[in-house]
Amino acid sequence: MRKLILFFIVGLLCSCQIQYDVSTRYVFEGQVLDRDGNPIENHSIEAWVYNSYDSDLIGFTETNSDGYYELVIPKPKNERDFEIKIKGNAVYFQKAYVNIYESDLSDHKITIGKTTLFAHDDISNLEITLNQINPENNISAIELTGLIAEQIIWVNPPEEEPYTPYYYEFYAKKVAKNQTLNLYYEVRNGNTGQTNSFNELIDVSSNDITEYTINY
Amino acid sequence: MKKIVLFVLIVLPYILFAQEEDTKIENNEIKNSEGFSFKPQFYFYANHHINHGNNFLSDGHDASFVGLGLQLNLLKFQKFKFGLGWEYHNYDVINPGTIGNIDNTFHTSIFGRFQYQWDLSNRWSLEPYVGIGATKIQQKYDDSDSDSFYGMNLYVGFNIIFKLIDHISFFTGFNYNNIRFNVNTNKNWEDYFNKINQTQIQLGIIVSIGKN
Repeated sequence: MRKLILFFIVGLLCSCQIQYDVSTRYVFEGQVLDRDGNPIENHSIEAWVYNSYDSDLIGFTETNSDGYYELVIPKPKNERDFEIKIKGNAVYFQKAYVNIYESDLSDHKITIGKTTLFAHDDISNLEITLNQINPENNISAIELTGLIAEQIIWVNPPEEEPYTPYYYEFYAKKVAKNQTLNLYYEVRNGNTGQTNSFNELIDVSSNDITEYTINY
Repeated sequence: MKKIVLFVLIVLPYILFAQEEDTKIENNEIKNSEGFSFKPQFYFYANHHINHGNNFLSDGHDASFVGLGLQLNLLKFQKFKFGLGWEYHNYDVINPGTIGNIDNTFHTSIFGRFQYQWDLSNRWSLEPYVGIGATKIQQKYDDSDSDSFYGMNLYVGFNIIFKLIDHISFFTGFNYNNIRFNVNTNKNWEDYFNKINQTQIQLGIIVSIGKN
């Protein structure tokens, strides 16, 4: 009986590992640029495969002199999603394209497109203080438009949460210096259920930290 | 015990059915007019692969300096011979961007070859041949199970044989090997994975049962 249970556990663990069909190959391609649109050469790119129990660094390469890369990987048999990491280094901040599904590929290929990397010294930490003046109000959405040094880019949105998230006290984002951002946010009144939306402009200077306050 | 039985089974038909050779000496040349016969020959050799062009073997891998090969010839009709063989070669992965994050690829082939033995002198022979076979490419990623894909081979080449003694010869061989795989991928990458042009160089010995 013990041997049977042990065999079952081992079999269950083995089936969780990502398996590969080497007779089929997927291609991921894209280009890496700096803020001025110049190609970044010899930049590390990684391809990751995930399922609910396992993750594999399945391939890696570097960009060529034009900033282009092509990653060719074997087709996983039991994956959940893929991720392409544009690695960070001493100069540039990392970016990652997550939640890539097999259904996003066409003719065994997906084009990530152009990725803009920001240098570490060109990034300002935007710190937004959420000042709750009316205790009945909650901030239900915040969205920034502009040059965002976004670390994670969702190719497919994450699974919807069953409840409306609220933002409390503080909101932070890494953004490029020397720009004007558009801030969109929604304020929901918990008693009346009414939601109001707002658009404001934030001037980001050359400082390493940019502070802003939302009073709601 | 099993090896002894196998050896007897291979040699016995030769002993029972071997035909006497009818040799003539004409113009200082020895001519052998034997017909269809059972002539076991074992080829043991080291094999070196040279992959050409832009494909997953030449670009994504570095072939080990030598692989192993074994060929068994049983039938001979006048100067024509037919043999079956097996080869193994290990490849190191040098381009994880196109092959994936693994260390090795295993290259295994089986084949059949039609050869012609052209005796240049008492000791030297030239053996051109054509062949057909299949190749298996086996890869294993991280802790996953290994998986394989297959291709068809066409060989054309020749062996240069030096007879050391009656039953043992040294040989060196050269052949061109054209392999076609069937990997499913983006159309811009199909040729990279599916069309292989390869030159092989062999060095080994031939052990003959009966006169060489």
